[in-house]
Amino acid sequence: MANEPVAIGVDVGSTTCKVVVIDGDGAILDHRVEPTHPRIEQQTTRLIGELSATLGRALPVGATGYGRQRVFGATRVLTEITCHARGAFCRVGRAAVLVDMGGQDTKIIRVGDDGAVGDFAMNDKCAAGTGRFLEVILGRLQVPFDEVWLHVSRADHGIAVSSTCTVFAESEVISLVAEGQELDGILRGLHESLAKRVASLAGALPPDASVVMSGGVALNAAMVRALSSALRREVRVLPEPQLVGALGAALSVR
Amino acid sequence: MRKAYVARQREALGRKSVAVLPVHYPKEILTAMDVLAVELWGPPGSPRGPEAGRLQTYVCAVVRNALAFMAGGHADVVDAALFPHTCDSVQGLATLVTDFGGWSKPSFVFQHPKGPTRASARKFLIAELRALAAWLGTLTGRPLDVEALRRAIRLHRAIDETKARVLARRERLPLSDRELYEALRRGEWLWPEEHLDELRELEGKLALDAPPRAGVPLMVTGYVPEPMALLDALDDAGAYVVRDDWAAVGRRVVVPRCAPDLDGDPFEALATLYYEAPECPTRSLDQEARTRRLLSLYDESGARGVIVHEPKFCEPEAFDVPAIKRAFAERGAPLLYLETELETELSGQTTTRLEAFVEMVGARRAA
Repeated sequence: MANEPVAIGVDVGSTTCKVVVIDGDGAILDHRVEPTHPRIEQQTTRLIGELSATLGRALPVGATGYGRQRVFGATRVLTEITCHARGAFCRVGRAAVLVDMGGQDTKIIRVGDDGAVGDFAMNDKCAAGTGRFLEVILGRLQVPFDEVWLHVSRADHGIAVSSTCTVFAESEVISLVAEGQELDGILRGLHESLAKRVASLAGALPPDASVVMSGGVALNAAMVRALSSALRREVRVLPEPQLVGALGAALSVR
Repeated sequence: MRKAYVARQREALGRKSVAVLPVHYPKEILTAMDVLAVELWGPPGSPRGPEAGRLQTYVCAVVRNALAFMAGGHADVVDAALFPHTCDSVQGLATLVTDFGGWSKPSFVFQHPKGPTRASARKFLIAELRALAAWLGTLTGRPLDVEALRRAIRLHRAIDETKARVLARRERLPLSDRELYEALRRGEWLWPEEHLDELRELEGKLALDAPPRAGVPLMVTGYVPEPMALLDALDDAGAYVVRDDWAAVGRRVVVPRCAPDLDGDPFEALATLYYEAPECPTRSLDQEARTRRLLSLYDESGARGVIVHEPKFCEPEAFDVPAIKRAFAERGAPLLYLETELETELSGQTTTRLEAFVEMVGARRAA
C-alpha cells in the first residue's frame, strides 16, 4: 500500500551503512546514511531502533552488504548482488545491465526481465576501480569530492594513468603532478582509466542493453560520463543510487 | 598427524614412504612395492619461514608452498619424492627443490605421454611405468613382484569402485561436504587397505531410503578442494556439491568402460586404466573431450549450476577455462568462475560471490 511503511532494508557497505524504510510500492519513505562503524551490530541496531521508534512499530528487516551477517534480528539476509538487482529492477521495471560501484568492489549485474540476477561479474582482486581507489587518489590530490566534476569538465583531454593497482596508481599520479601535468587532465585520465577497467569487467554487452548505475560512486558525474564513453552508450544513474542495495534488501522482506 | 603416521608405518612395518606431488601417478606400483605414498598438495596456508620467498608470488601456490615445505625440512620424514610431470611448475620444482631447497633424498620425475592416444604414446607410458618400478626397486632394495602388482591393481580398483558408488549417492550421506571430502582425501596418505576399510564404512552410512539432501545442487570442476572453507560457505548458503571434477578427488576416480585384463601383463593393465581415466588438462590436450565429459556429468547429476574453481596461477586448468565457459553458456547453465588462494580460509568477497551464485541459481530453480 502506498505511503504505508512495510519493511526496512539495511545495506552495510565497506564505507557507508544505509538504512531505508519502504512502502508497499517500493518507495523510500525514510532513510539514514552513516559511515560504517567497526561495531556493526551496535550501529545497525541503533539505526533500526531509531526508525522503528519514529514509525511506532517494528517492521521486517532485510540485510545486505559486506556486514550483512552482523545485523541483529534481520528477517532475511541476502548478498548485495541480489539486492542491487532487485532495487534496480524496482526502479527501472525492465531488464538492464547494472553497474554497482561501491567502496570495496565493483559489480556488473545482468538483471533479467523478471528482476532476477541473470549473471554477474565482480572485481574482487584489489581496490582498483572502486570508490576506495577514488577516495585515496582524490585525498592525495587534495580535491574535495564535490569539485571533481568541475576539474574533469575543464580538461580538454585526459592524461593516461596506466597502473591497475591503487598503490601504484597513487605513485603514478604523484609522478605526473611532479612533472607539472595539469591537475584537471590527470583527474580526467584517472576517471577514464577506471571506466576502461569497468568496461573490461562488463565484457561485450548486447547492442540494445540499457546500462544503469548504482552505488556511491554513481554520485560522481565525472565517473558516469567516463563510463558512458567507455561503454559507448548512455549510463543512467538510478535515483538515490547509494540506497539501491538497501532498497533491494527491504523489497526482499516486503 | 601425517608425519606421525608415516613414522609409525616405518617403525611398525618397516615401510618406506615417498612424498608425491600432484596429480596423477601409478599408485598401484608404489603399493605393490610396499611403499606408502604421501601426497603433497601445498599444503594450504601461507608458506612461512626463510624458505617462503624462493618463488615469485605469481607462481602456482601448490608449488610455491611445496618448495617452502620441503626446503624447510617438513617432508624429511619420507624417504624420497616423486614428481609427476603435471605442469611446468611441478617439473621445475623437481629441479629447484634439489638445487636450491636442500633436498638430498632420491627423486623421480614421472613423465606423462602428452598428445593424443596412439601406439607410441602407450609404449612410452609403459616404459615410464617400468622405470618407476625400477627406481622404487632401488629405493626399497627389492625388485617388483608381478603378482604383488596384480594384487595392488585389484586393491585400487576396489577403492575406485567404492569411491564411485559413494560419490554417485552422496546426496544420501548423513555428512556435510567438508566431512565427506576430509574422509575421501585421507586416501592421499593412508595405506590403501586402511583407506578401503574407511571407504566401506562410509558406504555403510549411505541411507538409500532417506530423501536426498535439501539445497541447491552444484557441480564443481577444478584442481583441489582447498580452502575447505569453500565447502562450508556453500553449506551456509544452502548449497552442496552434487558432483565434482576436482583433479584431487572426483577426476581421479577411474571407472573403466571395459575391465582391464588383470591376469595378463599388469603394466598393460595399468596403461589401459590410464587411458580410461577422466580427461584432465595435466595429462591431455583434448579440451573438447573434457568439456563433453563435464556437460555429461552436469546432465546426469541434476546440478543446477557449475563452479569452475582453481587456485591462482594454475596454468593447465586456466587454459581450459574459456572452452568450459563457452560450453556451459551454450547449454544455458549458470557458471561461476572462482579463483582462490591456497589458504585455509576464504576472503569475504569470495564468500559473497559464492552466496550470490547460490541465490541466483536458487531463484532460477524456484522460477
